[in-house]
Amino acid sequence: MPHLDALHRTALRLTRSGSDADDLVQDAVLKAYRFFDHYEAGTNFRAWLLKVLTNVFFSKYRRQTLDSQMRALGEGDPVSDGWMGMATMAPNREPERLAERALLEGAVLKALDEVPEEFRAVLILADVEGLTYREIADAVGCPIGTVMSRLHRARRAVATKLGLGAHGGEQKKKSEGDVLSLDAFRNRKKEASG
Amino acid sequence: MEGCDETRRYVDAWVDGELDPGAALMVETHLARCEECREEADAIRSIKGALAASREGHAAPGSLRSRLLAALDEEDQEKASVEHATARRKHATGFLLAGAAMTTIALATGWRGSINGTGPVAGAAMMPPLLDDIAQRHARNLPVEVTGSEPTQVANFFTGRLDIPVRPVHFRGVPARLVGARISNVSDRMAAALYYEVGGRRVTVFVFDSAVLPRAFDTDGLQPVRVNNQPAYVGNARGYTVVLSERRGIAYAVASDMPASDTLGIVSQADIQ
Ligand SMILES: [Zn+2]
Repeated sequence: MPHLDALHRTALRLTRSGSDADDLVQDAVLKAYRFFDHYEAGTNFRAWLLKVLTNVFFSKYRRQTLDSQMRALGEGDPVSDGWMGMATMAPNREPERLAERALLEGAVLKALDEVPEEFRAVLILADVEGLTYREIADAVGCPIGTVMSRLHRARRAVATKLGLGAHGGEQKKKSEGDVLSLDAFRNRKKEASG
Repeated sequence: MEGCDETRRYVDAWVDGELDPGAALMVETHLARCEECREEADAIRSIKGALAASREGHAAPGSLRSRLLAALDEEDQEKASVEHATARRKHATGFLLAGAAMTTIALATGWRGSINGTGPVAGAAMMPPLLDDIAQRHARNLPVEVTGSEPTQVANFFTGRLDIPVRPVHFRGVPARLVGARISNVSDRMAAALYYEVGGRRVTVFVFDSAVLPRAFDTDGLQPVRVNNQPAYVGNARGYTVVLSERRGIAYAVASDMPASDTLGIVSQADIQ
């Protein structure tokens, strides 16, 4: 039952509680069952199930407001803070060494659990479940640029929690910046090169 | 170094393979000359890899499964019409057995005629040579040059032997075993042949330079489909199903003696690194 396994591990990572995870999966499966007509044939079925689960999670199990999460992550400029020292982590160097990888995996999961919900959801869908940005945007109901930005911050938060960020705890405040735009990026590049 | 901020905004998308080729090239150009940004890309890849690895071995508790079946039964009983309930029960079975994914892919192709058949769709004369070549090499079942017990060994085996990176494909939630691999050819170009056993059936994944792929796929015997929102092509040659897809300049051909629906089902679970 690969889909059930995926639903359960995602529920577990989102709720961080075994009993809540079971309840969330049941709610999501019943909802998917009732609304199966809404599933669009030919699209990724697992992604659709995960979308239903994510929606149920945010409507019924959410514990943190988006505001408080933004504050928790420092709402900093996504590029200039916290990342630098991350690459110096030793296990990165030889990822094929299994024992070190297992250690890294355990530490990363622990760090993931501490990432605020909205950001954690995006990181789980991207890196654990392997959904595309479009599928994630559809699942969490926000633009792709927001997915990119949240993913970036979530990964940086994981790095910081692992003690890998150079200035992890003291990001400077910046009011905006939840959205990145690929188009803007390309246009800027074009102007720069042309 | 100039361009670092810009690069860091998009390096996540680059690692995730979400940038279009033009934007990816810009990031790569910067990475080629900036060690710090390169290290950041490595670090992201490392976190991503550790999280992906956490998928392995997770199974939902058995108690949850029985609880779900009971809940779905109850849901069915609330429905007045018996017929309606039966139809819905089929959906439920689909959810829980994950069969729905494969069925819907098969339906989405709109290619019912050849979904269940095992014979070739078109005559041998009309068969694209590439398809025939792949089917033939899958059929031959040559001895492996490296065994599949340790996937990193398989990847290492191809390093230096092929001019494209070859990583064994992981099939999520599918009982697939990597038997081994060897150097092969596709259309006179070197290719990696990765041999898998899926539920007792042989499945070969050929990895090769996508330059080999024909420009026009609308040849007889190749059917465009979408798998996980990515374009792919299905064909049938010599009684074997072949699914062709491309990712970042590398072509993947999956050959099996299973019907197209099952082969597409397997492909939809493939995790290409
Ligand atoms: Zn740089």
